[in-house]
Amino acid sequence: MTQTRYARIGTSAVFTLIGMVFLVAAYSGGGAGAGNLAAGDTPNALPRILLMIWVGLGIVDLFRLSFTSAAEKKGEDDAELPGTAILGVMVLALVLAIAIVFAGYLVPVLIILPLLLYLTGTRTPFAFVLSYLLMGPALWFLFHHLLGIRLPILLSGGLL
Amino acid sequence: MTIDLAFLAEAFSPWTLLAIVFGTVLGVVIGALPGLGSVVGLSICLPFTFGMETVPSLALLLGVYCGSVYGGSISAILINSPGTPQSAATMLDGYPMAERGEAGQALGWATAASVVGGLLSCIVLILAAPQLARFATRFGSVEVFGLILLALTCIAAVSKGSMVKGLAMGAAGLFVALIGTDPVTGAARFTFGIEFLTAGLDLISVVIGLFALSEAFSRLALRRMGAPTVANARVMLPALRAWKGRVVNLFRSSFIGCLIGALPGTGAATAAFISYASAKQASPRRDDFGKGEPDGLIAAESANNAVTGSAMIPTLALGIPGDVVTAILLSAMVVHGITPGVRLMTEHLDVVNAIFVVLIIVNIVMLVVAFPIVRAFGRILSVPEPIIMVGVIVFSLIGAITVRGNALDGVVAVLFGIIGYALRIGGFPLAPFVIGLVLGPQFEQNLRRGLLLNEGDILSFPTASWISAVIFTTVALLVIANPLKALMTFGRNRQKQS
Repeated sequence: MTQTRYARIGTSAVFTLIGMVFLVAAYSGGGAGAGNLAAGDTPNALPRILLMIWVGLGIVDLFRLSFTSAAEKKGEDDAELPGTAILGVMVLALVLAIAIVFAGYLVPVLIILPLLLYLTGTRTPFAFVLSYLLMGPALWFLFHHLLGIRLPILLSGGLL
Repeated sequence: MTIDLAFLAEAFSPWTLLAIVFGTVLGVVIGALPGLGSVVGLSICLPFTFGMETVPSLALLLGVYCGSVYGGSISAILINSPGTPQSAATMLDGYPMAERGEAGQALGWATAASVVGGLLSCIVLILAAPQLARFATRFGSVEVFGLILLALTCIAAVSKGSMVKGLAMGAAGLFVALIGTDPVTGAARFTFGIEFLTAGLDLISVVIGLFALSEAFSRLALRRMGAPTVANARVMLPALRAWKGRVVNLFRSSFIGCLIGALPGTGAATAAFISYASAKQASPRRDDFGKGEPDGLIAAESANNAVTGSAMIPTLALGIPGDVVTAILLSAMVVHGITPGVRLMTEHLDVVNAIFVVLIIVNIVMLVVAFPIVRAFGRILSVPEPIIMVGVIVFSLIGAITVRGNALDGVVAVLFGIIGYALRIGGFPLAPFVIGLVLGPQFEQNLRRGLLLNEGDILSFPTASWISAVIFTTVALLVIANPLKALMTFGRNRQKQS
């Protein structure tokens, strides 16, 4: 069994599991309002049907993947698997997004952007500094001050 | 009969023209950079449109869309790497021409074919969309519900990967669209007490995450740290006499592109390969295909650009996006207060007419901007890919945050970026999810209205009218066809083994 096949089965299992969690929530969370019962119209009716389809097809896909031999899979394009660097990039992007909620846009970007550039392999000082300035303060200035599209701020004055 | 020509003033306003030029230039550049396709380009540009008027904002996005489809051919010809999947067929004859030292001619053929294909598809759009829209006014709730179901089934059927995965993703997309407050009863659904979720997940943040961010993660995972170098090239348009014996191919390929573009879920890449195959079959120079034959280049480029206009036919006439690109365009319309649906062409005819004119201008502008952009291409490509991808991450975050002015949407975008990356590894097609997400509210609204009209009897939907009978029969056939095909293949294999 190839590493890609493991990844495919794993993804399919997680995808189905998420659907199951929602399905359980759909039945345990109460009716969420009655709606028009005469027409079978309740707010949770369609979500439940969709979740059943989601979970049902997920299980079918899992079976299909489990019973397809590795030889049959040969020829399918193998997706690249994540290394530690890409996981780091994802974590940094998530940290940046969460930090923006609490500290505004500019300060987190100024701190996390150099880490992102370094982690993705930018080592040349000129390219590093130029990218940092353009994607950090320059973008902030363009959106926040020139285009008037307000980005989250730390201080109410709008400087940061 | 009087025709209101106010839309012409809108389409030719300085802001609209500026947006077209900026969008087209940006689109060509984005398309030319390997890995950044139309969807990433549109996602990056979305935040710029929020402060703009409706027509200039759509002009910017249409410029990016058409420009990026053409832009993909530049890198396909010069560095044998299609900037967008649509340009994969262009590579087959474009790169061999460049290797022979005819890069300028190849770019010239590609540019001319792209512009002609794009303009022809505009004409088809202008002629076909109003007819389809007039017919669509006969559609009631049941028919619209059936149509959305058909669109989702079509997209799932032709998506990369298995149909099972495609349908599951469509259902997941529809479900995610229903998270938030129920529009009929006001009850909270799947919010788990989180106040942020009561308004539902923002469509654009999810799209930005699923496509732009997950694409950036995927490209970074491939660890392509270097950048290719390109010799100086320039566009050399073919002389009129060089078209002798190639005009039929140009028109046939454009027509194939128009036809395929109007079908939901097929897209420009399919159109390019089908017309390439058809041109190869019909050409007297078929033996030279794949070795640098301009006919192959003409077929691929005219067909993939012809898709840009015709893909707008179901979007504008029925409010059903055929692919992710048109789904993003449709969501941009929603941001500007235009509700997609079968009455789009009657209620916002001025905007639709302006879109027609804008598309024509975009194709003409494309011809003009191609010359300087190709000259500058070598310089643009010298920017290392990781820097571009970090830029995509930053732009995507800004885009997600500025849609509703809520910083939490940035978190949603990154989470969906990670989910999208995992789904790509798992071989799940992302398009059905996004189409489901875009059409989810309409899907539910029409289903519930249809149930009320039919006393809760969903089984009466296929017999509600002849239109619904046709739609539901097609859906059933599409769903049955795939397992049937698999069963027949299985039987044939068993027979061979025995």
